[in-house]
Amino acid sequence: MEGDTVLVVVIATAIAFDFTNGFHDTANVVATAISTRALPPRLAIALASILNFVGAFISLKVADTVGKGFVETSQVTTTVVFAGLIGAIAWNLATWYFGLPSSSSHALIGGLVGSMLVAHGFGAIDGDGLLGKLIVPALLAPILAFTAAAVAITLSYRILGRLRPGPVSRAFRLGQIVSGGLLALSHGTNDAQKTMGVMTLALVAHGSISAKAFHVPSWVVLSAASAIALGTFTGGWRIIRTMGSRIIRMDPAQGFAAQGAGAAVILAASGAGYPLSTTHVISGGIMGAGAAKRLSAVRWGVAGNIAVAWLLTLPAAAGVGALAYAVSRVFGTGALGPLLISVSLLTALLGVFARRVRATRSPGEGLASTS
Amino acid sequence: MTATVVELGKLLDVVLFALGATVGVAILFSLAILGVTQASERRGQHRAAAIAYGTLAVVGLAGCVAAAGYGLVLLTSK
Repeated sequence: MEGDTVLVVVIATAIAFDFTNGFHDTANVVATAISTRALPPRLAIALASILNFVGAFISLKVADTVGKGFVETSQVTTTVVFAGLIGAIAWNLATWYFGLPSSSSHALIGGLVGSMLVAHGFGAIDGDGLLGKLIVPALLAPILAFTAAAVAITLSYRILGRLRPGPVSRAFRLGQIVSGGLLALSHGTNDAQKTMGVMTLALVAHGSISAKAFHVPSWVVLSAASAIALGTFTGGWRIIRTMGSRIIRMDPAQGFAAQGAGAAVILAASGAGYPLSTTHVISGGIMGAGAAKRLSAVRWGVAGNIAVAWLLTLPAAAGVGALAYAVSRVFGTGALGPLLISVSLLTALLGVFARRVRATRSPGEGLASTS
Repeated sequence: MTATVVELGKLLDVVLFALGATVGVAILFSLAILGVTQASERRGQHRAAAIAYGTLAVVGLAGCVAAAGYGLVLLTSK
């Protein structure tokens, strides 16, 4: 009975994480299309949330990697999964509060690894899996997106350099609707699957699914797709502003190249089962498209702040995950610890959210200023 | 050791697919824009050139659609 209660708390927390993932990350997906005025903000976000929902059904390879690739599945308990999720949510909210586009994916895996370390020690962590399936692809992905976007925009400017800019910009704005759509689809494909993997891991820990017959149930796919789509629709406007205009002011051709590079990298990685950070990839694409035109066009200071947030994500989320597990165990192995932590987090979240809403309603801020 | 932990073949596939798709689609879409703008400018005086640019536009756009469709089919069929 108590195991069932913990499972319900974990599933609810996973869905909440997926919601914050959509809220936090998908802003990255629509920022370029909004900043080049290819799409009005609300339409861009509505389109992105629909395509995120659809994208979640495309593949399950990433869910498999998250569920089986980083920790010893047979040793995972529902409390470990819960504490990992708390680490990820706390880090997501902190970076959202400060407007930094960090990686929800790395926060999730960092949180899980941190709680697993405290629960079972280093032996329960698959170091090879972490290196080969997470860290190396994570380092490669933004460099790949940077290079692809830089080469693409350089060739586009070569082909179209002598034409009048008006019709070219209009055409690229149309192209951005498609490339932005593909980017949203790829985001749903890669990001929603991470939550599916974690939810399935909780079901394995609970005993509802056998570790040997690891598979993602349909209701898990549907609930993860719905949560990320809803999170996307709610929108993370602070990060849209950072991604869309504070790294670099883009023209529609650059937006097209950045979105195209981001979509291609994420879709290719999803096909291979790599859980990438969409944030890292699209940031790399934006910087590549900007640097190819003029190195000084990129605001490297902002890019540096984002890089610091990236570096901190894994250890910070692991730290919070470890702490959440330790606090939870103070109250035993039952449902009391997870319930108390959930209530505390929810209370803190409501307080922070209310403060943020008050701040965005002050003159000169708010949604209108982002469009 | 690292080479066995990191599946180099799989990573190389990701790199080649991503680079090829991004650069390929950017070239095709740029050629389509070039075709459309030049075809409309030359429609009055140089009919043959307008037809050639129009063909370029159609080929470029068709290539973009085919590349995006092929990528999605590849992803869903794996």
